[in-house]
Amino acid sequence: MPLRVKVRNAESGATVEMELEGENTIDDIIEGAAGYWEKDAGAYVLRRGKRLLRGQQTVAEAGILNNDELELIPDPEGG
Amino acid sequence: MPLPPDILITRLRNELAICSRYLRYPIDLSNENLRRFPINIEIELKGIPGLVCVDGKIEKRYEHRFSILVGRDYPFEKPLVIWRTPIFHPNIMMPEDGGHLCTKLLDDWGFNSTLLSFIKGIEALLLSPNPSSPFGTDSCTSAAAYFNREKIKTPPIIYSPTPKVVRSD
Repeated sequence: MPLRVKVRNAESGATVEMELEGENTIDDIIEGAAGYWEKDAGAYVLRRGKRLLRGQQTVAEAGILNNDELELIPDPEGG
Repeated sequence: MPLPPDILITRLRNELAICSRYLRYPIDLSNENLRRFPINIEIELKGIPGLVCVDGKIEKRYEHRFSILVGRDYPFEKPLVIWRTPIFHPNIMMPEDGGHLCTKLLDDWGFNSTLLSFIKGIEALLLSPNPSSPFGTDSCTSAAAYFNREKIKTPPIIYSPTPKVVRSD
């Protein structure tokens, strides 16, 4: 059964709702949200609460639940 | 060309109000402080675990402070960020080494970047250091070696209760 999550854009505060399957990856979510807001997906990461979610993890592996709110933030990678 | 002063101050005031709500403590928005550039904004992160090295022993610290210096050419120009509290991180210098941060957030700074998204990114950087590309200072290279060597288990993140508004009538 698909999950419904909300993705918030940290830069603008705007949100978008997304329907996901367990095998979707974090990268899929980033690409979807970044594409919707016409941003470069490579420049963003996704976090739930304050923890970053890793790109190749699936929705099931990341433990994302129905009605979770995720946040698209600029990639803070150091170095 | 910089933003007209009034527009810049309005933007900063709005950004700081949003940061203040997110961080759950007041940030001084008085007119006087918002008109003298560079504007120094002190940010405190609470509840986010970051490592420190005390007498050669690695410990967790849950309160961190850094300064954001916003110049007249903000937001076209990135702010200057200086870390103020001890830290053991490959991409953040100790205050005595300069307190500089090496992060894509600053490298890729643009007009649409905001102080709030920057602060959220710094929270993520604290939790997810990049040991493959450290600064050349002793603490940063030691931290990189530590993070490369150890399998780091992320400590819990602490959420303080929402402050209550007390009214006195």
